[in-house]
Amino acid sequence: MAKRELKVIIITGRSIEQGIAIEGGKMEMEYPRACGVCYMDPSDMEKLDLIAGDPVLVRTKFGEVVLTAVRSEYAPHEGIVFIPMGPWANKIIDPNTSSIGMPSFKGVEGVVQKLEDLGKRPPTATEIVEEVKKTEGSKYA
Amino acid sequence: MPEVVTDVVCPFCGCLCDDLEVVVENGKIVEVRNACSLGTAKFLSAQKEDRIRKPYIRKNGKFVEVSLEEAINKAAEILVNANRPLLYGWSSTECEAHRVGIMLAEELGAVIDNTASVCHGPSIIAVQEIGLSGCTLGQVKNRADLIIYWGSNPSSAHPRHLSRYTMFCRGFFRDKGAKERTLIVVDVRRTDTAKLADYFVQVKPGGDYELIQALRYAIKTGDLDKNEVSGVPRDLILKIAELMKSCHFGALFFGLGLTMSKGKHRNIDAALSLVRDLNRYTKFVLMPMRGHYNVTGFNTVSTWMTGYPFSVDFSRGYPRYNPGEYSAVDVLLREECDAALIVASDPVSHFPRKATEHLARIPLIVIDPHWTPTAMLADVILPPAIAGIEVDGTAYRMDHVPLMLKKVIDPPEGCLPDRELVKMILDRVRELKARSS
Repeated sequence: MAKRELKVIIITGRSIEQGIAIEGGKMEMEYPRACGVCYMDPSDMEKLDLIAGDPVLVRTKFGEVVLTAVRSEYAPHEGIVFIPMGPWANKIIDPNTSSIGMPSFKGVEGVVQKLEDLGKRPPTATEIVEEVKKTEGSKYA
Repeated sequence: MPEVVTDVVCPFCGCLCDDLEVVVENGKIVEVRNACSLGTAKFLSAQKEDRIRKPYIRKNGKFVEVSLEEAINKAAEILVNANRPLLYGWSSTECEAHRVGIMLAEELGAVIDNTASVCHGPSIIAVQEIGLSGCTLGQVKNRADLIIYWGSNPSSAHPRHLSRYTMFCRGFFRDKGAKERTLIVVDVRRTDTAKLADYFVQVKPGGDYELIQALRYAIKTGDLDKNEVSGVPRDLILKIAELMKSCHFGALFFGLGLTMSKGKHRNIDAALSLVRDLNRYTKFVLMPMRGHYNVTGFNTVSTWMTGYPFSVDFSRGYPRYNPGEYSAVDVLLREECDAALIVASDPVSHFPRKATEHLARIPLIVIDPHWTPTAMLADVILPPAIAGIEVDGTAYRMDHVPLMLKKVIDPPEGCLPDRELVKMILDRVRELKARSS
């Protein structure tokens, strides 16, 4: 029987699609399509009974975000998921800078959860901005 | 008639490819030749619909178009009234803007930081501790017979790096090109770059420090008393150590796989020490794969002007340097700054969520050619001309070679170079301060 959750190590970074989308496409659908995704090893997708395009919830102790599962072309990397850098990845990475200014954008422990509601989709950049606006003490509150 | 502008320098990544040809017709870019998909996207973005073409001020929660004078005045007022303003970004603009930005930071007693602090800041810290055996990319092209990419995937981040500078190019002493070179890639995933490698070393996440130290041991002793280090078998480590020692000219390029992973600057310490060890046997150099096209430029200009490359605090009237304290993410996490000026950067997209939340609490001024999540949170928006496309300037390649950016087309009416916009803010700040004193 397929698992509901899988423990993973999360790494983030540039993908070519991310690099193209950030040039004038940040407030368009191009951006979540490029960066609101979770590249997974095919064997990990099998464990969760996922097919490419299914929504997943990625959770760490720093936050959670809905992403679209994508089959990685850089396999095998079982137990490791790659999320392109951007506001989606940054909801769940470790902000601790180890006293040198650099947060841990790579190597964060987390969980990928299969979502039963296949209609779930990653938030758009506009929705993420609205989330940030609702911060406690925000000037928009 | 279309006009072809030749020898254009690409303002996207630290490669600063200087062989681009841009075809311009009726003041519009219609074709970009020789550039990778990232560079092409940047040139074509200048004409995109989402371009910010006018100054805006947020009034009653909505952006209202205002005159440039009103926007500059509002920006200067915000900065003068702040106790601890943060000036951040700078890596995607020209050095002339950096110079004025640092003058503004000094005038305000502000913290100024660039994107290096979330990129190769740890590399800079390590270089300050150990020193660097470096060279220009031309030397690599002409001499190197062993190329290593460690925690770096140029096929996504620097697509022309291999073809222009390292592997698939003929050099003066390497006239057979790739046939005379060996490529080693160390990564946690089998990336497109790794697929091209003669030797792919798949390291476990966070295992880089241990692997580098194992390589140092293997290089010194010719042996290793472990069967496996960080997921890499002993035989492969010994083979890589031998290749490193026996090459004529080795070049180790490293990316954020080292600076962002567990160990951070200590990983780079180890890599620098490895290269120092190797220079007892052969010629070996090391170079960080700088991401933004002019991130090196800011570090250089800031070092000339303040003595320090990034994370500089002017609150005591003189520059102080302490990444971890004056770095932008930390200043935001501690909720310390009470206003921010962001130039050519998008921290709301690229900082950890907890750090971006403070940007929603404080007055925010943004100078950016496009609508971004950071611009959407701004109180004042100023429309710049894009350096390297609509305005000339100086930029530093990842190997610290300065190149002149070209103006290819005219900017939209009313869009001024970053250096002029920041200078206008600086002049207005000085006026306001003179008036209040």
